[in-house]
Amino acid sequence: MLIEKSAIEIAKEIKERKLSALEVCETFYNHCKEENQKTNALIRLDERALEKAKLIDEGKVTSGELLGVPIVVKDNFCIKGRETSACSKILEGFVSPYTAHCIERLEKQGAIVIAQSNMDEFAMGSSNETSAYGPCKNPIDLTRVPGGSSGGSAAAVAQKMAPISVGSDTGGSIRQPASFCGVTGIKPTYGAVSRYGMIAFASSLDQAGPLARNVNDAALALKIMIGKDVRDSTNIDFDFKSHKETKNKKYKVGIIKEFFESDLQPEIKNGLDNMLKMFKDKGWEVVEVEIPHTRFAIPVYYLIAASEASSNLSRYDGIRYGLRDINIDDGRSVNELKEFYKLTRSRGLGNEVKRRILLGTFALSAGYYDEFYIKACRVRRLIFDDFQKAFQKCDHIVGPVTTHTAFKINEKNDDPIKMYNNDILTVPASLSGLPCMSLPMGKDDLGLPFGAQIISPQFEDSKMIEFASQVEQLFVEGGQI
Amino acid sequence: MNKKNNISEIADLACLKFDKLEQDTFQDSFEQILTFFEILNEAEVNGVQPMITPHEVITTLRQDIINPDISVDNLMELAPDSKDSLYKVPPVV
Amino acid sequence: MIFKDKYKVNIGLEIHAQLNSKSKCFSSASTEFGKGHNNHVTLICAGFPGTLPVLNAEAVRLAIKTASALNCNIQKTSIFSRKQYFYPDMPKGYQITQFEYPIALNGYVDFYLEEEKVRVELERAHMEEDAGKSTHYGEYSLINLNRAGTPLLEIVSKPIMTSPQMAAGFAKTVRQVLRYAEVCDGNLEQGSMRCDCNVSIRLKDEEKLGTKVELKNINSFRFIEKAIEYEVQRQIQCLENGEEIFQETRLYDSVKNKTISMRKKEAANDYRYFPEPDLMPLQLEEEFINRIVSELSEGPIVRVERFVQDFQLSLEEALLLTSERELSDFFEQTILKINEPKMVSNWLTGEVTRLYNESSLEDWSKIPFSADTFSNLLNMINNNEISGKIGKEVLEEMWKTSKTPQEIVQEKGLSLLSDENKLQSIIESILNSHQDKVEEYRNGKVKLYGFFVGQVMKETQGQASPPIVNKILKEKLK
Ligand SMILES: [Mg+2]
Ligand SMILES: [Zn+2]
Repeated sequence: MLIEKSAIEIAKEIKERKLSALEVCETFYNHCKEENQKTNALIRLDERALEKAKLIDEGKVTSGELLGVPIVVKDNFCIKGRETSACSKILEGFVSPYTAHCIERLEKQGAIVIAQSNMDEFAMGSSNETSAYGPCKNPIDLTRVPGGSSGGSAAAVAQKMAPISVGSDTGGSIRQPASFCGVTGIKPTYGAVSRYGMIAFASSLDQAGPLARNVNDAALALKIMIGKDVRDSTNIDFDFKSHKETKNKKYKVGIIKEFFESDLQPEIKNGLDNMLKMFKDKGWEVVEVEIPHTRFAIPVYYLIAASEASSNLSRYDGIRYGLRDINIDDGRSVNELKEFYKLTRSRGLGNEVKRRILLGTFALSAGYYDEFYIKACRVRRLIFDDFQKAFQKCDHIVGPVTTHTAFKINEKNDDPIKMYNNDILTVPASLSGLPCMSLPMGKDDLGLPFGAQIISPQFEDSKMIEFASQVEQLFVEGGQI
Repeated sequence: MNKKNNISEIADLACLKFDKLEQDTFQDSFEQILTFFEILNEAEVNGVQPMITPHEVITTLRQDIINPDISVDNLMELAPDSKDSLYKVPPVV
Repeated sequence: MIFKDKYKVNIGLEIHAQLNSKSKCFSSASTEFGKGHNNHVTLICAGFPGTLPVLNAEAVRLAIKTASALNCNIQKTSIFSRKQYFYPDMPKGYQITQFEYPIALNGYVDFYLEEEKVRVELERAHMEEDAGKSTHYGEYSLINLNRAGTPLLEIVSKPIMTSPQMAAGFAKTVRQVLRYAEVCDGNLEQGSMRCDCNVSIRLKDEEKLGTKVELKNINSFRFIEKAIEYEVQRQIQCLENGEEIFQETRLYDSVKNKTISMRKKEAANDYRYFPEPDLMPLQLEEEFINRIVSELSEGPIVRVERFVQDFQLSLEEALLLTSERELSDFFEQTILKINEPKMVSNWLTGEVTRLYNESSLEDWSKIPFSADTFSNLLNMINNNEISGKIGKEVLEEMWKTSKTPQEIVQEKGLSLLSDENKLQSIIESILNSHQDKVEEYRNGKVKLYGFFVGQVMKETQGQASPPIVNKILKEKLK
């Protein structure tokens, strides 16, 4: 079936004219429409996709590594001429006048955006429940969350709405939903993909990355997304060599003591043990490494992310774009500046976003800055240093992505701390700017998927993918997935 | 760690407002979160430089070139309210 | 002034200078002044979602140039921060500005205050972006973002100035330095240079500085003096009445010559500075800094002192000549052609300056004749081809028509009458018709000499060559 095909196959067959790009596009487009009723993974379909596909069939567009491949893009990437809202009411009606750099790069390689996907508002959430467009459901169990914040992007790939989707990861927002939905998701090294055009949540943590059903598709998308962009000062001139399988490399694989000591669901623990056994069978060395400052990772992450977010979201003020909601009773509207700001912002932003703005505003405020924000930045370095040390002992680190499989919708909604703790295994790598990914590893007794996390040294994204490819191979051979 | 007893001051800085019920809910979760964050007191950070960005690449500088990317008409189209190609807001003085 | 002896005054200035790069500090929008509404606005200037700042290399170069012209220490690492507050002319909800780690520290400005050399030390100079402009219409305000994001260098003096005159002198000198370095036109009225004054007073024997009040909205050097003058009096009055001085911002109203409270700096003004995570620290190579510093030409104070030394000018003359760089350049070009510094200086600071002031020229580089042409005029005077008086007439004509002095003298027949025979007969006939006066002169009434010269000039319509007239008259009157 067409929707089962990988991105690489689709592009190849379109290029060889074995497949019509329009047929591909229509098939996925219709599949999106149908499937979306179950999960609400998508919030907007892009009907322009069909026109673009026609251009390929007409021979007007002939090249590109993703020629005619439909992709789904998280709603925090600006797309020219399309409403882009980061699933927030405050950006209601905002039609972006430009396209994000990494999306532009994918489009240049022939990829066609067919839809924008659901997400937690401004990417603040781990369950996709904070979206202004309503929650997205987990396609494997509709009573459960798909994870977040890239819940829609993960669900869309799991539902085969597109072979590739684009997400963003600040503290686990690609890896955790990938794990919950049984797909592959990569967060590259901080600075690898330009952030230009990606609506900011936390500037020093945000990274765009791909999700796909296999490592090869994800790797190809990532290779395309990475590229020097002078419009992002934190973007690195990144030398990304596409991975080639070096046979017989005897890997030294690190496992983080603190991760394995956490309260893991038994099936996940088993899955990990199995994986390590396979590694050893292959002659790879497994070494224990320590990230002793892991226990501080959640407060450090939430303080830094909230501080940056509180500032990044100040621009949503109802003056230049998006929502302006200043009506008070009997048709009058407020005409006092401070109140004007407060009304639009309070009505346009959701509760979790407000909570984090408050937290960040507090952490940066006079008298608390050193104690909270700066302290968090110092501990951040300690965590970074922990990883530097760990990588002296191993090539890559493996471990769980989450302690448990997907939880129920509303299960953690009232308890922010529970929700925040959910990210304990993903934020350490984020804080350290390391490349990391989630790879489907198995399913629990209820059939809910969970992933293996791979964390690699800074800038070694292509080596990580090379390694992931081999691990994926082991899982396939072992019948684990 | 000391806490601000009242989030209303913080909300004011952030240009947010809450009704009484919301205020109490936010106040509660805010205090819970800060209590939870007290674990940071145990971190030994003497002499550790704050890490702002997880990599330290060379400064990127832009050439001094004019390159417009949006027209004033498009800007005004996107604006909730404007007059004579200027953004319209409540009186600022 | 009442009670003035009881108090000490401390004044510090914060001067914002727009750096004249073509594009803005963090975006590629034009910095041109006064074009159509919101016409120089990019997505970055308007704070669109997903946009990011990228620092303009030219703004950095100009900042380094300015700071080194102000004798600052350029810092190899400086860091941009976000200064956060909500205001409609600041689209992102924060201003990108250097806070803890500015691009330049220390520095000083030397200048002459009533012929006495003074030094005002600087605390720092830092880079930041300008805000947009809001205009108020009662029921609403309108926002123009053309200026938003223009690169600024904020120059901060130590609070060590003790008089309004000193503060104005400092500000004038900074403007002069900016113009000499060609980094900013220093136009106070158009706002390319803006001065905020921090004023505090304390009792004579008090160690600690008093509560500082910030004065804004001052758009001329004269108003700097007047605003501070007023504010000092107001503060003295406050203390004498037993009232408290609040730390606040006050606007200067030049019509009423008063300062008016704008807003109290309360706890609510918490800017929540933190390092801008969208920009990496600005790292400068020593070589890069040195190259920019080496391009810097002589500053105004050095030039003043060189003029006094090399050309034996008075300090007052040198100060006048160097007030604008282009004027002093013109002076130097002229004396290459005619080595008469004193004469050139007199003409430039006198007649030429008068014409310049009456004109609406933007600056001295625009004057309608070259140093070469100007030196020709002076040479003609020196060679007795025309008199000094005629020279002034010719100069005015040169200003109006851009013709050469030779052309003007010829066209108007202004050249001096130096034909001795002709003058001889004119003088003879004058003496003949004033026999009585000649007699009186010879009897000792030498004052009459001027009368005879006057008569000759009258007869020749001022064109008689004075030295020749003198020679003949002296002989005939013997
Ligand atoms: Mg200042
Ligand atoms: Zn400033």
